[in-house]
Amino acid sequence: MTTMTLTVESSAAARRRRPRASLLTWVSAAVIVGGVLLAILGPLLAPHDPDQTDIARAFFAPSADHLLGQDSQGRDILSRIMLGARSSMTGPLIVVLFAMSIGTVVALLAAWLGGWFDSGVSAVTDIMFGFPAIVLAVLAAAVFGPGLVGPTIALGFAYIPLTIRVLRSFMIRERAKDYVLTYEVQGLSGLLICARHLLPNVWPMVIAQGTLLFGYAMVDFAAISFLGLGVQPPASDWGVMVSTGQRGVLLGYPTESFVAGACIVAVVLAVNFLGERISEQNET
Amino acid sequence: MTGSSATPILSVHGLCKVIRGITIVDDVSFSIPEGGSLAVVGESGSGKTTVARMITGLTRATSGSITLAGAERSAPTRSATERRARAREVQLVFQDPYSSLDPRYTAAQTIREALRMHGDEHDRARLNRRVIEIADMVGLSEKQLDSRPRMLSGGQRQRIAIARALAADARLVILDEPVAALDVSIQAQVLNLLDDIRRAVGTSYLFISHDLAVVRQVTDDIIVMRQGRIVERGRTAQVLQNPVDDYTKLLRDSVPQPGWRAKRSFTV
Amino acid sequence: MIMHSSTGAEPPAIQLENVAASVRVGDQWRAVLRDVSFVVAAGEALGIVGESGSGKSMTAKAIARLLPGRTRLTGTVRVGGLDVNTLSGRALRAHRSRVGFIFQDPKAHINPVRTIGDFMTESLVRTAGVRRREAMVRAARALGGVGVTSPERRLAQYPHELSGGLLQRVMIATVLLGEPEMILADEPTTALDVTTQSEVIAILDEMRRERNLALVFITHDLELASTVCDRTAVMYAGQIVETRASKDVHEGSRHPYTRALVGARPLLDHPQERLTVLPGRPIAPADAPAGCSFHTRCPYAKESCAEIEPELEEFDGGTVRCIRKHEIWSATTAVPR
Repeated sequence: MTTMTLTVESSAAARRRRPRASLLTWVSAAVIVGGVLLAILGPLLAPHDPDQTDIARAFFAPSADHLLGQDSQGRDILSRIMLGARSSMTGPLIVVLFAMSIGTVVALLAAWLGGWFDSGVSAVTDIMFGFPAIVLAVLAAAVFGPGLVGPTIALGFAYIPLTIRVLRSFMIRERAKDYVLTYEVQGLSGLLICARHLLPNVWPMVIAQGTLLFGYAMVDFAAISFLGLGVQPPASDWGVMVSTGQRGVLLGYPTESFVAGACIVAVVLAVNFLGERISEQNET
Repeated sequence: MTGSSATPILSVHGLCKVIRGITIVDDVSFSIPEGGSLAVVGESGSGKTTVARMITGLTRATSGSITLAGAERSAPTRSATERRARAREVQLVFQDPYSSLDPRYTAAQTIREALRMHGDEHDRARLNRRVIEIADMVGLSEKQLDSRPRMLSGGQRQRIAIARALAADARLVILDEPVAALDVSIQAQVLNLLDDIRRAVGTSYLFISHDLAVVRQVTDDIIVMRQGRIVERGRTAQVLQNPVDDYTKLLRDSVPQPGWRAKRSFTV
Repeated sequence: MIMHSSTGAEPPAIQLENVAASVRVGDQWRAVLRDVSFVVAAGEALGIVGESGSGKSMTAKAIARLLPGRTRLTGTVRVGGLDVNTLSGRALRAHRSRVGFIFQDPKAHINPVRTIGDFMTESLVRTAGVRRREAMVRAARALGGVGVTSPERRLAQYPHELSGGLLQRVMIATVLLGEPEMILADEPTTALDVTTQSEVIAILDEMRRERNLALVFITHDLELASTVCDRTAVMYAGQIVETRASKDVHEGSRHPYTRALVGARPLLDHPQERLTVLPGRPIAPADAPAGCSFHTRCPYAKESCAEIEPELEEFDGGTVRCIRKHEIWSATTAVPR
């Protein structure tokens, strides 16, 4: 038997203790909002036609007309970045939603049912882990051809075992808690217990995992595009831009690769950071 | 156990639990009269918690019979409906007052949910009145009713757990070390409360504890378990005053009392 | 308020004077100790009893200088005559080895990936420079002393293979190996079965007497403290509210809180109709009200109790922190409950 040695604070005291939203939180939020706006309104906001080439002005430095300069084909880098937001973020979003939905449901079932079902799930996820994302992406490219569809499907499946494994351990721990047992004894149906009590209490973990996954997905997508398996040039996709900008880097005009890469990093960091804050706030 | 001609609220016969060849509960039989209070005393590994789990239907007994309120209940519950029916007969109050409550629910929500599950009351206003009634019975203030477990002390959380058991209107409440994690002054409050409830509502208790002094205070009958078996049984006052079995004597002699001196007795 | 006559020039093993401490939480300082003073002589056992937030654990940590990161401490803590807070470096390490600390949960304080033998001999080998083989021999002997059979086998085992009671014996043996001058035990038996508790207490007691060590025994269990220790101190909201010879605590304690603790605990031999109950719950030092910290729950409280802060004063064979002590105890002849 253990005596409780924590002294409970009044709610006012607890509120005072919780750190207020820091500058970093605001910055992250701004980055994400900006990214989303661009994804939605990109084509409307872009100052120039992203596909408009102008060979004579290839690799021109930033100017009043072209704030980020021009790439190897003379296209406006800023406009391409703005348009690229859409394809760079949509794919990862779909992947995350897909993998997380399936992963959450399977993890929940595994945690709830336990026994042979859980063992089966563990075995299947172990097998799935044997197929790395890149391999699946190559396969998908062979089947679906170039574009967003292939990588999205490939990554969507590749991420499922990861989400199941992580979420399952949280769910199992929560499921073993006395209050869940109590509801079982009370005669609440498994479905209701999972929906009303189990899921809401692991939700912060799910969100945190989702944001992490989003980050992985963005980077994986970029890598896939970089390898030429996904979105193809001349599309304005950040990953593609990092790839096509290589020539520019070698020639001493790194702007395209650099800015595209920076955008990827910025969004990934922002999403991760906000995800962590959200799950912290929800911590009981 | 105590001479009572009426049907006991709980009757357990030959209960056994074997896991992977290890006998955790070995041929346990006892009964609790309606409105009675039975203590199950033992240390870790005695099997007392497993007995409780079998009675509530959380674990399947390897063999033996369980009769709750006259109805055969030896098999674990299979469906939610079965569990709900059993929940009206037996409720469980755990030791850890924190993990036994959904951290996202306020006390009122927890109690209300229990009421909705077990009562026929669906009218919102009447439900809320009943919530306040029960909260009153267990000594929870309005402010505490609207608080989440995180904001409440161990004693208050235990009151919610007890309130939840009351809301289900269970005939038998199994309490597994309900006050072990509480401060001494709060223990007394909760013990008195349990006593009051039994007097007012006529609930029967199965009180699992390692604490002999607590058990002496709140129970009429006692069974002492050691390594899965019952080694002694009888009226609590009688058994604790004049224990017959050596293990019971050892337990009793291990309790610090005025004039007590610890003695070394075994090597490990 | 020192109630123990010191013999000659030998400084007491432990001496605390008006110790107060605050811990930094977020952007604020929260009081965890408000006024703690006591003396423990060599070979003496003092029990410190309190509920949540009373500060009993903090007191032990203050003595061993194991207080959490950012802590502000006022008052003096003397161990073996030395002011603990002025120590640093080698002197501090020497101090830490002089004070044997036994924690509540042995599992949390033993490295799970090292063997018992490694754990027990580490300090000997590293700091005292004893050779490993010799250290193992000593460890085996120490284990035997606390009632562990086949010590060599145990030394090769890992913590998870041992039960709680066995691990606590290992902890005690380890602490004793360091040849401490005093032992601080922070709820050493709370997580153990009652028969194991009895055994561990007996071992502690025997070892203490054999080596004439000072013992500070911290617990929430008033009966346990009174039966194990020569004197008992009761803490509430970061202050000591009463000290008394253990044999007098049950009938002769004079602070309303102590009386309430005595009355709240069911007795094995004399069950009461109803237990005496204090309203409310234990207060953290930082939330203590003005005046007497206990007055909000005290059955004897008067208006003046909310205004005047009582001091710990000698009364009736012990010390009591209560401004109404003379009134309460002269008005009644029997022990009020």
